Amino acid sequence: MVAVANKEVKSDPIQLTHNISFPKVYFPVAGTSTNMFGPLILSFLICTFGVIMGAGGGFILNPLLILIYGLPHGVVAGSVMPTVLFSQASGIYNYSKIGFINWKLGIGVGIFMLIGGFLGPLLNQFVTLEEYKFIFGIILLILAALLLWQTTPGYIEKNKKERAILQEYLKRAKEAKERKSKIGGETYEA
Amino acid sequence: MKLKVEFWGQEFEANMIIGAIGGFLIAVASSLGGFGGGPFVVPLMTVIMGLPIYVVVGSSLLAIFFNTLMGSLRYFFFGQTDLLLFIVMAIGAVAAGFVGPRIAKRLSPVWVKRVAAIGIIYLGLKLLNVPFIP
Repeated sequence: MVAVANKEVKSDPIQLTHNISFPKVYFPVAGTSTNMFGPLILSFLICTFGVIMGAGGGFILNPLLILIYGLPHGVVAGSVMPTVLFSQASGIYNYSKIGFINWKLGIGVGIFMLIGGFLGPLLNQFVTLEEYKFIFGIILLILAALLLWQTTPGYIEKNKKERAILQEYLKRAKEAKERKSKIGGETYEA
Repeated sequence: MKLKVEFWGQEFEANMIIGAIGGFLIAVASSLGGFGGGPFVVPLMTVIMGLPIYVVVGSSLLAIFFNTLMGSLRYFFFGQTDLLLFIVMAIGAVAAGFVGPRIAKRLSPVWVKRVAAIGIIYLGLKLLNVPFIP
């Protein structure tokens, strides 16, 4: 293993020996080693739960990785965030195919989220572990309040109606797509 | 500033000033913490901007994608992405994507949310170092 102590100051590489063997692995950026099946099972369980409740798993996964495995909070944020990129991209692709994305709305809000996404990781550099925990704790309490509010009768009633309309639109979109592909097929044959 | 949003022949008005400020704040918090902002952006667009859920499902995903892409790139170039940890987490997440929906069909979403809220409150209090939390 080669480690360079400081990026700015050039230092001699130092040689270290370690006796870590599979399934224990060394996470090079995080700088710690753990049994890799621990985080793997944790990710699977939390993300499954996340999918069931209709929110990603990052909310619960990140604090647990920090509390249980003591991984640095910057590395946890930087490694967990990209995992949702692909599922989001495929979701956008599927929704756009059936005309379910309003580009003006998505890009309009998205531009401001892009600026936010530029600043957040920068802020992360200056935030200590204790501050990170504090901010995350507040975010989790807000999220819990949102979730509880979504289980109140008034909200469920309104949501049910809109969900029904959503299903209706999804059906229509599917039919429209089938019609289109049929026409396309016929012209291809002709 | 009102933005006219068209969805399958229906027209809605969205307040973009609230959308911009809310989206920005959610993006800062979520990219700082390292999670997607879905559970916050959907209520922002439905409750605060007053759009129905069927308009929001696709577009909110697009908005979040901007944040996730930018945040991920920033972390990567800051050298804070541990590729091995990323791969381990991604395998778990992808597997969950296949298993989750199958289990979800058999459960009541309301009760799942209630249980989740209790778990999240516990975790939140623990992170806030509230005394007498085991």
